[in-house]
Amino acid sequence: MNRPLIPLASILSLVAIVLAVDPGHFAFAYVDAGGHPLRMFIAGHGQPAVVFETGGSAGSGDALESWERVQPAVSAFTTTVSYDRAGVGWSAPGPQPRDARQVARELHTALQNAGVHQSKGSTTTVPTIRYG
Amino acid sequence: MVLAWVPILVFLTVWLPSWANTTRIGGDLYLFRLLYPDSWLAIIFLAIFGLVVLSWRFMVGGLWAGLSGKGYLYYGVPAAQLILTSLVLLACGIWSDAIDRIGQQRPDLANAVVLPAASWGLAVWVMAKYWFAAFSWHKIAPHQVRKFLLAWSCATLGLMALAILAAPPFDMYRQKYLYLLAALLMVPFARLGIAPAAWAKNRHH
Repeated sequence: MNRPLIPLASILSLVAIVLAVDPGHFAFAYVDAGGHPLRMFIAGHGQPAVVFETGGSAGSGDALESWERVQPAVSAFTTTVSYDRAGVGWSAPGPQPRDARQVARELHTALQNAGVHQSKGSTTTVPTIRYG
Repeated sequence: MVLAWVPILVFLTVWLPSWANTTRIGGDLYLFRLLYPDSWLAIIFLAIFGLVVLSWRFMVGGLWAGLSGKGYLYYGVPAAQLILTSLVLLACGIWSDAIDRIGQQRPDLANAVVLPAASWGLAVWVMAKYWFAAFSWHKIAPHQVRKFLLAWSCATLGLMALAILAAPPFDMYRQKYLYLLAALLMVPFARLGIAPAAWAKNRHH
């Protein structure tokens, strides 16, 4: 055994254990949207809550990461929510048909279950989504 | 290795601003600078440094198998690496939908199982690597150990700095220690210690 390398191996083993003890976590939540979970990232405090919708060319939208550079800035002064629509990113698929009404209903349910306060007209989303 | 990279970097430095169509690169660079406003230049520098280290790693990683003079090691080790990598890629391709489905149906697994398993897997790998190195370097002269330790320290510190700076800036991914553990594994150590021993054994035979 190489003696000078023993302290290095010991120190790096200790460092590896310390680093592994705190593996970190994914900070997003999974919120029930009426029988299936949606992946949501909720940040900030205050009213009105701002909900970030992801459009995208596929029609069903992109993953919530699309808003990652915008959401922290808006979270500085109010509650913000970004989410994956059902079947997009890491959200489970939802019931058919996947029309705007169904998407809006799921968002409404998920926001309620997440405890995000909604008052009609104050929660900001893109115009294509309206609460049924 | 550094000399091999110099012509590539010189060519890129001349070609990119002079003749290349940089429309796409310009857009990507703009996004990259948005994501890492304070550290984008350091990340580019450290990424090039990391590539140099990685290419050196791939050159010397299999030295011990070649120097051993044994055919089954010379062909077997790279073949095993190739087959294993291909199998992993194939499995990911075949089961990618199933993996996505599991992720969607059991989202709790990511925090409860995947992250701790990945962390501890890497930690055990780090420990195995450096303790094995302590054993494999037993016949190497102290001045050579010191010289390599200096090179290893510089390379590893550079890669650790890259792991910290280039960690995803997204607030929802909070697992930067994984990248640090991975950085500790990049620079070869144990296998380099085996190489002279394998060579000595080969000569002895």
